[in-house]
Amino acid sequence: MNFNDNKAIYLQIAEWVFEQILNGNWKEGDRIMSVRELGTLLVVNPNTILRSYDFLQKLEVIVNRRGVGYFVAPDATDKIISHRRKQFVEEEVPAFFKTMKLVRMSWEELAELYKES
Amino acid sequence: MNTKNIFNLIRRYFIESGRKDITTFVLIVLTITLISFFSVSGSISDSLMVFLLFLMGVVYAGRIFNIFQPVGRAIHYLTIPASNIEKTIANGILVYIYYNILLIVALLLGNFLGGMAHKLLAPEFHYIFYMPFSLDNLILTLVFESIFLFGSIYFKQHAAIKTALVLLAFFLFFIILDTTLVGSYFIHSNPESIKEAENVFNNINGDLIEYTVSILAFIFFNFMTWLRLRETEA
Amino acid sequence: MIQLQNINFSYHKGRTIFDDLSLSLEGGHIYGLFGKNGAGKTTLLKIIAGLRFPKSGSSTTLGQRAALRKAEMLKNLYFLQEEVYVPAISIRDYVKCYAPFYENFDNEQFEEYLHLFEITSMDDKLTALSHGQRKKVIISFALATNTKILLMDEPTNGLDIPSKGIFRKIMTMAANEDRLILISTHQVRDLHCLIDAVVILDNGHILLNASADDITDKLCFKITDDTGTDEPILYCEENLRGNLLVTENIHHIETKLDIELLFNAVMLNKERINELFNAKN
Repeated sequence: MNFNDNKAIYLQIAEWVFEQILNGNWKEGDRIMSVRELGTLLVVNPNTILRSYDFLQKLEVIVNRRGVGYFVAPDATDKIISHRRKQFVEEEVPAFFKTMKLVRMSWEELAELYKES
Repeated sequence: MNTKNIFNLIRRYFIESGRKDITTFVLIVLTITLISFFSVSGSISDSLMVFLLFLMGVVYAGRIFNIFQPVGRAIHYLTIPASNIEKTIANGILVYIYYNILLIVALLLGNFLGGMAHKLLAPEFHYIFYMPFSLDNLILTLVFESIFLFGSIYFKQHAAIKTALVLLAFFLFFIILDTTLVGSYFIHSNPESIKEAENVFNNINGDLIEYTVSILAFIFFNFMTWLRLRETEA
Repeated sequence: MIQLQNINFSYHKGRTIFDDLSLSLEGGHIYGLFGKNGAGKTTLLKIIAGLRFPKSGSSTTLGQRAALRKAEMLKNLYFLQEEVYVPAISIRDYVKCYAPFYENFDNEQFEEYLHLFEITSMDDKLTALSHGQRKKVIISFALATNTKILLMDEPTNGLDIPSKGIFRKIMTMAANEDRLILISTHQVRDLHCLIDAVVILDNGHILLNASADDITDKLCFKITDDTGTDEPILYCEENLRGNLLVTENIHHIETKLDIELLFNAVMLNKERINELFNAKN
C-alpha cells in the first residue's frame, strides 16, 4: 500500500478498510484480518493497525468480539456512508464552494455537469 | 548455574570445531608414530612428552578462547545465553578433560603404531610399551593449561606467544632469585648449616608441597579466567 | 524492560559519549534510535546488552544489572550487529548450535523468514555467503529466537533493495505486544511505517523519546504551496512538491510522521522540543 504524505497513516488505513467494505471485498458480518495479519499485509506497525481498528470501532464500522476477533458490523455500509457524508460536508464541500466562487461557476452550470457525469 | 547451558556450550564447540580436532588428532598420531619408530627404544622420552603436552596446551587453550578478535566475534560469544561461570566451566571441561583425553589416546596410539612398525622391520627389537602418564605429568599439564587458558583471555591478540613469554620471564626471575639469593646464602655458610637445611627439607614431604602448590595455582588461574571473562567488554 | 539511569560513559581516550543519560523503554513497541554519526547509538545498544559498562549510573535490562550478563537476561535478548559474525558452519548447523540456548526459538518461523528472503539451501556454509546473505540468515535467526528484547544495529545496511522491503514485512510479522524492538539506523526510509516510537540521541543526552502518536499529536508534518500558517514553524525545507513543514500542532490535525523532517526539526529546536515533550513530567 502506498501512503500519501499528508494524512495520518491510521486514517489512511481506515479509508482502505472502507473501500474493502464498499466494493464488497469484505462482507458485512464477516470476520476480518487480525491486527497482525493486516500489519503484515500492509507492512505497517501492528500498533498503527490497532489504532485504525479502534477508530473503526468508534465509527461502529467493525466490532470486536473478545477472544474471537474483529468482524464487519452488520450495518457497516450505512455507517461508512454517513461518516463519509459528514466528512464530505465538513471538509471537502467548503473547499469546493470556495473554488466555485473563485472560478465564478453558477449552480445551474454545476447541475448541468452533475447530470452529464 | 545450569548444566544444560554448559552442555549446550560444549555441544556448540563440537559442532563448530569438531572437524578441526579430528585433523589435529591425526597429525599428532602421525608425529608420535614417526618419533617412536625412529627412536632407539621404540618409545618416547619423558621430557619430549612433557614438551608435547606443553605445546598442545598452548594450541588448544589458544583455540578455545580465540574469541575476542574481531570485535564481532567477541560480541557474538559474550551474548551467547550462558553465564560467565558456565562459559568458564565449559571451556575448562574442554581443555582439562577432552583435550587431555584426546592427547593421551593420540600418544598411546602413535607410540603403539611406531613400536609395531619398528618390530615388523627388526623382529629382534624388544618393544616396551610406554605409559606416558604419571601423576606428576598430569598435574604439571593441568597447571600449564590453566595458565594458558588465562593468558588467552587476558591477552586479546597473539595470546599464546605472549603467555609463553610471560611464563619464560617468570621462570628466569626465579632462576636468578635462586642462584643469587639462595646460592649466596649457601656459599657463605658452613657445611654444617647446609646439612641442617637439608635435614629440614627431608623432613617435609616434598611431593605434598608440590601438589598443594600446583592445585592452588590451578584453582587460582581458573578463578582469574572467570574474573577476566566477567570484566571483558566488547 | 530497559532502564538506563544517569549513565556516564567515555572511552579510554577521554571523549565523553554519555553524560548523565537516562532512558526507559517498554515492551510492545518498535523503537527507532536516531542520532548523528558518533552520537553513540551502537554504544547505547552495547550498554543495554551488558557489553559495555557505564562509568557511573545503572543499566538494568529485564530487571537485571546488564553488566552481569546473566544467562536469564541473555536468553531474552538478541543483539544483531551491523556486521554480523558467522562461524564456518552451515545454516543447519548454526541452528543446531545456537537454537537450544533460546527456549522460544521457533524453527517454522525461521524457515519462513529464510523462505521470504529467498534463501533456499540450509547446507551452504555461512562463511561462503555474501555479506548481505549472511545478514539475512542472522536476521531470520534473531527474529525466530522470540526473545523479549531485540536490539538491531543498522539492520538494513548491506541488504539489497528488494530485501529491505522483505525485511519490513518480516519485522511486522515478528513484532508483538510483549516484544521490545530497538532499531538503530540512519536509513530512515527503511523504517517507514515500521516504528511506532522515536528515540533521538544527541550530544550525550536523549533529546526525544516519544511514541509516534504523541509526536503527531504535538507536531504537524505537511507539504504546502503557501507558506502562510498561523502555527509556529519548527522546520522548513523546499522541495519540488512544495514546502515541507514541521509546525506545532495547534489545530489538532493529525498528519503523517516523517522521521527525517522530525529529526531535522528536533536538531534545530532542542529547547522547544524539550518543552513540548517533557512538560507533563
